[in-house]
This record gives sequence, structure tokens and C-alpha cells, in this order.
Amino acid sequence: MDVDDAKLLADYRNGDAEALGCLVEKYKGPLFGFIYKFSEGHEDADEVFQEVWVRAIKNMNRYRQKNLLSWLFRIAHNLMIDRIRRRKPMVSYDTPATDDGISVGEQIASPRQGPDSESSGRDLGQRIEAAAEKLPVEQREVFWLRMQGGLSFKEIAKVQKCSINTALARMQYALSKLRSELGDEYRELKEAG
Amino acid sequence: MNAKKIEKWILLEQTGELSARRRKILDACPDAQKMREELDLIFNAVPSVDAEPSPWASVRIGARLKKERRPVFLSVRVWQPILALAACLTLIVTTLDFTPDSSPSSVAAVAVGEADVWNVQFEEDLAELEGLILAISDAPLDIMEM
Repeated sequence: MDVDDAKLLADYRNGDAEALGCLVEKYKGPLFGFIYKFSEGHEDADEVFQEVWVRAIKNMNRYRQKNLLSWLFRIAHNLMIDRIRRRKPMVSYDTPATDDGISVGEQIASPRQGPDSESSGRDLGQRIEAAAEKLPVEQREVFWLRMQGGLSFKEIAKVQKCSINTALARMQYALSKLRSELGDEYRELKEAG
Repeated sequence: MNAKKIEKWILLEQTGELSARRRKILDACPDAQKMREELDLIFNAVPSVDAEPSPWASVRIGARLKKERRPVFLSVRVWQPILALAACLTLIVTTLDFTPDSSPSSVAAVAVGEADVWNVQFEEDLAELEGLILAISDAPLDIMEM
């Protein structure tokens, strides 16, 4: 573990509440950004963020990794997997979700976006974000762990408990799907670049 | 080198996980630079999340930890070795054979022991009986004649 992190944790255990604040502040950017991508709004992300820290500190005796951020991401990953599993049975793909009878499954599968996102679809960043939403969870997670969390593939592999090659393959699949989702826009960008 | 491999190596290069030897090979590859630029285009366009946790997040975390803090004697760290020791003891105790040994030699040994005890008692009773007979009769009596 980082010497500073170890010291801050020791200080916190010795009753220094500010030490915890320093740790949270240090890692809030990448961690919250990543959690935010898999949450339902800011409040939900805030709740998960707090839960990650509570679990991390409570289970610090089980912590054996060198990198505290990887450990935090691992906990966030477990939490999100649990939440996704719990969320899944709540909505059936066949459930008619709209007045015109379009099912949830059709909405998810449709490459067409809603009027709001269509109007803002000119922004490549938003297009990428929307395309990333359609990726399978493992690929989406690798993509955001790399892009938002700034983790190396070795660290991503630890978070997902898979090999580096699997983590890399997931990233490559994600990129390839993003390219095809972006379609013409990506080709234009490529030519302009 | 195919496009997939180039892409894989560039991804590793970006995170500093590519070996120096492979980096040299990559640098010598004419398609690598094109692929680097292409990936940069995508990665630079990815929007970063501006949202931040609530300013009182660390206070809330601290409060929750304080509330949920368990006494040391209940922690897994303390209980783990105790449970392991108890499991070992249980294993030893349950595998020990407490049933009496019924082999012929041990039965004979017990029988000999019991016979010795019986003989001593018998000798004493016999001597007492002999004394009583002698007391009630005038002539000495050989017990073996009885």
C-alpha cells in the first residue's frame, strides 16, 4: 500500500477523523466517476460511494493488495454486480413500457435514441457514452475502469478476477462495438483526424 | 502484425504495461502510429464525469463506521484462530477410540487380575473359617478334607 495511505488509515484508526476525509478526497475523482457510470443518478452514486468506503475500512484486515484504489474498485465492482443482479428480475424484456406498446427489450435493443439524446447526438462524447451503455456489463466495466478510473489492465484484471488477456479482450470488444455504433460519425472523425 | 495485435499492444503501451522489446517492435510498425491516433480520437472524446460525491460524504462514512464498529472480541480476526483450534480439538476427540479393548490378550490380562484379587479374598475367608472351626472343635481340622 502507498505509504501515505497506510499512514492515513493508521491515523484514522487512532481516532483522527480528518485522516478519513483526506483518503476520501484523494480517491473521490476516479472512484465516484466510475460508480456514477453504473448508478441511477447522483444520489444513488453517493450512496454506493459511501458504502464502498464503509466496506473497505471495515474489511481492511482482509486487504492484501498494494493499491488502495484497486481495492476500492474491487469493492465497487462487487457492489454493482449485486445491484445489477437484484435489479434484473424487476423488469421483464416483454413488459410493455410505453403507451404505444414498445417493450423494454425493444427499447434497449433499438439503435435509435430518444428525441433528447438525438438532438444532443452531435456531441461525440455523448454518443460514445450512449454507445457504451449498450455494451455488456463486463465490457462496459473494463471500458470505464480504464477511461474513468485510469486503471492499468493488470489492476482491471484484479478487479474483475480474470486474466490480463481477458481484460484486454473485453476492452477490444468494447472498442470494436463503439466503432460500429458510432458508424459514419466515427469514419468522418477518422478521416478528419 | 495484425490490427488486433497492434491495438492490444497500444492499449498496454498507454498503461505502461508493454515491455521495451515489444515497444520497439511497435515503433517499427508502420500501422501503429495510425492506430495510436485513431484510439486517441476515441479516448479524447470520452467525456469525464464532473460529478463529485456530496461534500459531507466523508462525515457520513465516518458516522456509519462509528455506528457499525464492533467490539474487538467479536471480530473475525479474533475468532478465526479460536474456531480453528476448536475444530482441531473436536477432530482429535471424535477420532479417538474410547470403546474397551476386546482383544484376547487384554481379556486374559483382566481375568488374571480379577483371579488374583479373588484368590487373596478367598485365602483370607478360608483362614477365618479355619479359625472358627478350630475354635468350636477340639481336634485340628485340615481344611482340605472338607
